[in-house]
Amino acid sequence: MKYLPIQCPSCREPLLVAELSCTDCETVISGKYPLPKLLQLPLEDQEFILQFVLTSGSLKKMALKMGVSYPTVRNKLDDIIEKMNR
Amino acid sequence: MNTFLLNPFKKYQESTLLVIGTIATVLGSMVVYFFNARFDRVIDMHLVVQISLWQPFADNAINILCLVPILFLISKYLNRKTRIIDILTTVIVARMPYYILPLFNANGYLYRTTQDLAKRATSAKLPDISAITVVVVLVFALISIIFLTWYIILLFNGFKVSSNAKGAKSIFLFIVGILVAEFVSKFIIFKLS
Repeated sequence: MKYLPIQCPSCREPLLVAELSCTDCETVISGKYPLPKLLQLPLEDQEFILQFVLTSGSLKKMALKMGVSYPTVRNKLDDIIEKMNR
Repeated sequence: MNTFLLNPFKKYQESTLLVIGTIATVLGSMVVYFFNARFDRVIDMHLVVQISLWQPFADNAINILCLVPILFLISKYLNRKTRIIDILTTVIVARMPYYILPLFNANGYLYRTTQDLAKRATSAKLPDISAITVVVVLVFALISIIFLTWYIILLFNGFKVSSNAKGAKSIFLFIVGILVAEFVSKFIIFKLS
């Protein structure tokens, strides 16, 4: 599986989307589009948010599913919120 | 293994920790009674000649009731989402290693040895201390330090998980909290004795 790079491997600055293309008609759009906030998070955090949505936002259910304690899940969520607010 | 021994709070649900911690507290109090020790402060253990059955239960209850509110207040200050159940399970599970220590006082041997050593060391004559006595006391001192460290690590890890504490400020507040709990528990147990 290919992962979407979000940070420049050279200078560590966030990357921008410079090109979008249609796989059907091969139309190419060029520009400078910033990545959405969710995509700027590490893959692990994106997976966490996906699970959060899939469990209807229940941290208790998530804790049971992930095999960790409730405060561990809540702390992870708090850390992601902090990252997104930065 | 590390998670199981040093940070079970990260993995296990509060209901599991509560059951294990409660059973350990009751069993630990019985061990303390049969092996003649007293937990007469939050982080202290002393060997004694004999104790009543109610004393270890009272000691443990006072120590737990001193630690929980103090650590809870600090955790609430650091993170308003902290739950008291997580602090309670932290305290009762963290104390578990301490309940093993009195087992080394089987037959009151360790108590007699340390008392004898103290008596000889303070006598006017040159102390006549056998090598076995010194080894026994030193080994017990070393084991006590290991178990005390284990207890504090568990307490701190539980506090950290409960409150998502980070940085030097949380470490400082944790140390202050332990010292305050130590002082308060000493005062209450002294008043009750």
